[in-house]
Amino acid sequence: MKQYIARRLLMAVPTLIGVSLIIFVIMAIMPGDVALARLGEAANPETLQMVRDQLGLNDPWYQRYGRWVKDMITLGDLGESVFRQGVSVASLIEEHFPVTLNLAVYTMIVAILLGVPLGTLSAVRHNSWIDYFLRVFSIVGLSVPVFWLGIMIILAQVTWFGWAPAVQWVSPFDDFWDNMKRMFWPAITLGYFQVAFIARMTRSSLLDILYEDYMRTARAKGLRERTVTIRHGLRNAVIPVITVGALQLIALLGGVVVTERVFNLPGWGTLLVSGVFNRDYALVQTLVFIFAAVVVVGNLITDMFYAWLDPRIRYQ
Amino acid sequence: MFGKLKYRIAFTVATILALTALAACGGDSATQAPAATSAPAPQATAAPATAAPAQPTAAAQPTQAPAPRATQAPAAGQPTSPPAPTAGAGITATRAPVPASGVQETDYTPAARLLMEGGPKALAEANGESPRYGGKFLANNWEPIPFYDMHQTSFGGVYVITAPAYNGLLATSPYDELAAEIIPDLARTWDISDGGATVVFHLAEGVTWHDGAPFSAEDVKWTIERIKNPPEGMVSPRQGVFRSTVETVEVIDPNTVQLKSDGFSPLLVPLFSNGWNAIIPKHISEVDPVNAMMTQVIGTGAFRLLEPPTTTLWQFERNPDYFDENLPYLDEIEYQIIQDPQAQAAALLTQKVYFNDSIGGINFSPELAQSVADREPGLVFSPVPTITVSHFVMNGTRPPFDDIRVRQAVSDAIRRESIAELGPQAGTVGTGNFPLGPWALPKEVQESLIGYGPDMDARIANSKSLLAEYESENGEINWNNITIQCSSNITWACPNAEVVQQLLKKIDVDVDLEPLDVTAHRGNEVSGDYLMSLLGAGLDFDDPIDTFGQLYITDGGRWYQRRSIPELDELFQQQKAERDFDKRRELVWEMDKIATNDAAYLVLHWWQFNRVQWDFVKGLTSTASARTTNARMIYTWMDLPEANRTSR
Repeated sequence: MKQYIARRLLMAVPTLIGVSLIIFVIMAIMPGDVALARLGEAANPETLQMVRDQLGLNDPWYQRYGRWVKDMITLGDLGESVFRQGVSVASLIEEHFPVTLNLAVYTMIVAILLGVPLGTLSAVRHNSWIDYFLRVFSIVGLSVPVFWLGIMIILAQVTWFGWAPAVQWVSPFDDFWDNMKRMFWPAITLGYFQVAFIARMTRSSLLDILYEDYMRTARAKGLRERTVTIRHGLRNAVIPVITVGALQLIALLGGVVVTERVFNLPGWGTLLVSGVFNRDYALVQTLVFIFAAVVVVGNLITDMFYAWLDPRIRYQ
Repeated sequence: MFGKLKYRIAFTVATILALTALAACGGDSATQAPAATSAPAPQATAAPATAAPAQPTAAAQPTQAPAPRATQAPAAGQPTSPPAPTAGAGITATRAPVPASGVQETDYTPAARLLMEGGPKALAEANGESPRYGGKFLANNWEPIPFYDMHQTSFGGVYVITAPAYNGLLATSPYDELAAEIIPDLARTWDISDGGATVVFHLAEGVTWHDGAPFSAEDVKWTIERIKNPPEGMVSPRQGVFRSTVETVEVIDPNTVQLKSDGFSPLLVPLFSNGWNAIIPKHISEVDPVNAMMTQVIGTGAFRLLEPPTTTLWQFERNPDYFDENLPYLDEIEYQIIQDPQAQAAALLTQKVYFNDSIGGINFSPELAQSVADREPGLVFSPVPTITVSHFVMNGTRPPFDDIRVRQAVSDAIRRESIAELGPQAGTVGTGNFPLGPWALPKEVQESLIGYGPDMDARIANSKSLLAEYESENGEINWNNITIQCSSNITWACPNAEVVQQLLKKIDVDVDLEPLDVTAHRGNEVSGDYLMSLLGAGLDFDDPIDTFGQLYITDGGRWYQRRSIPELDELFQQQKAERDFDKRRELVWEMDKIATNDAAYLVLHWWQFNRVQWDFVKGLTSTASARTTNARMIYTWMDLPEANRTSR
């Protein structure tokens, strides 16, 4: 196991270097630059050139890449944002991180608290009207784009209740109730897809297990159906759900970007979109690199969890 | 095995719960409990006890802007004949006949006289308002803020959000839609002499910066010279207009500063009523002239920062040491940065913010603005005509557009009204002069020009004839090799280009669009690497020195068409020196006719912003200039029971 982890960590190094190069190239070939974003569209050629020189945008690509990597590695503040004067990338990321983490955790809670029970219900009431309803519910959840759902929820609240969440995010430690009011609907919006996904996974996994021999044996022993389903069926069915759920947590990052934008949440997603619009190379490259690192590390942790949860699995 | 598994699953669930706790560990970060939620719910329909009887009530006035008091600007899409210039409105210095020498009694605007003689309340009462003190104003801005030095950018978001902290030498009346009626700010009075070539500003006394340091004429001199002759490494987008307007700045004494121009200059006084040209503190800026103001917001303004700004929230409080003890009316301003229009709309509808932005709703389409206003009787939608153009430019140095017949053929085929009717950006049809201001070309003259005739069939026939004539001499134009460049990330640019593309088909011209990122697109306009281009241009003044000086004059700031017209350049110099308003306007109209018929830089229309605000917001008029001093919010007040103090 230790060898496996060490090997995976070593493999992560070239992966991350490759990711950094890809991010850099994408940002480099993207038309437009931060000089115009900083000056406004009325900037003239001379002032544009001056800002480009100041920011080193006219340097060769390898110098710019080297400077970015060096800033990330050697500077505790991850370098300076090229769009926001005098603000470090680290401080921007730190300022926006709690919001994204908050949203991701609430979303996963929604997903697990609703996804597993609904999937279980759908499986045990197989081919009943409840199953049909939950299957439609799941298919809709998998099909509806997050941004559309978010906009519809906002419009519905404003139209029917004259209510919209507060504009500013509040930490749950400062005011849990206000935090819930601000984050509930974004979590529902982002969580609907996850609920649908986990419910589908749970349902199909549990259906496979419900007719296994050991389940029949448990019933033959005289156990109640609820006990058989939960203690013998669900325990086994939930293993792939947890591992896939962990991967979904990573996949949440994509949805977070959209959801934060729609609900005006000042998290990493909003920061990233704003950085792309403003061609803030340092910020976008670093943030995407962090996303990539989270995915690499998250995958590794998921694999380890999987082996830990199911002792039959051993990594070579 | 299941026994062990139970604990493992339990551990996994516990991990997830721990992550929940971690979410909160991020701390309070930059965003505190929103003051917006604690703001008292405004009573939009309550009849204010102190409101002037002439004010229409919310119930009587559903979603349209109240009738303007001074200079009515017709709504977009209305007939484009210019209103007769009204007395008092407009740029005083350009209209007042100036004696050849000696000190002239300054021709102050009516608003300025009201302020000087009766104070801010007199100005408000003259406009049917009885201001109340107090309250927290919830505002929103639509752009991320890269830095805080407005002198180093033309970024509207930076201007709007820092404006409450600053004063200029002058301002414009908060009730003037044209943002042209000059009123005092730091300069309480001013004398014009030398035939309009010299102005002496007499500054307010006892003014201090937000850090407590005293303000003086040295700060004014420092500010002007820094914009005009920026230190190495500083970007100064407006140095051109300063260099052409201000020759010298001289400090007479700590409260008097004298500015001289190289001959009569109609912009010498109005230049300092533009919001961009706020006065900054010398003692802070001189420490690091390029960077010091990038990260600090210290002005003499009516509001000072309550806390350091975050990426999403700017909080201002009333400056208790403000030099005019009667101002400002508001206690606090809170600026939320909301970029998404739908999120803005939701915040507006639920009174999380009180307007969609201070300069006119740049982020709202007319449809969104109207639909938001239709939902709440207290919300007022004001279409705001602005001095910003959508343009269609043909490169006058490259064939076939180096031939006037081709340019005129294209111009005549483009029905200008179609841009607003079919495109996403509403606007007002006009020529090179702002169609709703004092320089607007009379409608009958406009209709005689290429591209503006009322008979579209005749125009199409003329276009075809011109093209046929050109092609008989030069061979057939291969339109397959010609594209219209447009900005794919500017919401209205490529849709407007599609409208033009379809209109040109009526003269059998079939061209493709070439969508580009705006930065690359603008770069092509600047370098001349295009044949046809559709984008826009924002201007600061409704004055030919700015409009024609930017758009049409050889080597002007936005001379994208690269067509040099010596006759036009000559007239431009003549009108600059002309002191008589009527004579100057004749020259300006002549320039307009030449530029329009030359048909290299086509004004498709003048933009309309889509301002939506709650009806209890007073003393804050939407203006034609996107850089109005109204963004400083000195005269803004809220007609709410909560803001019930009638004096400080």
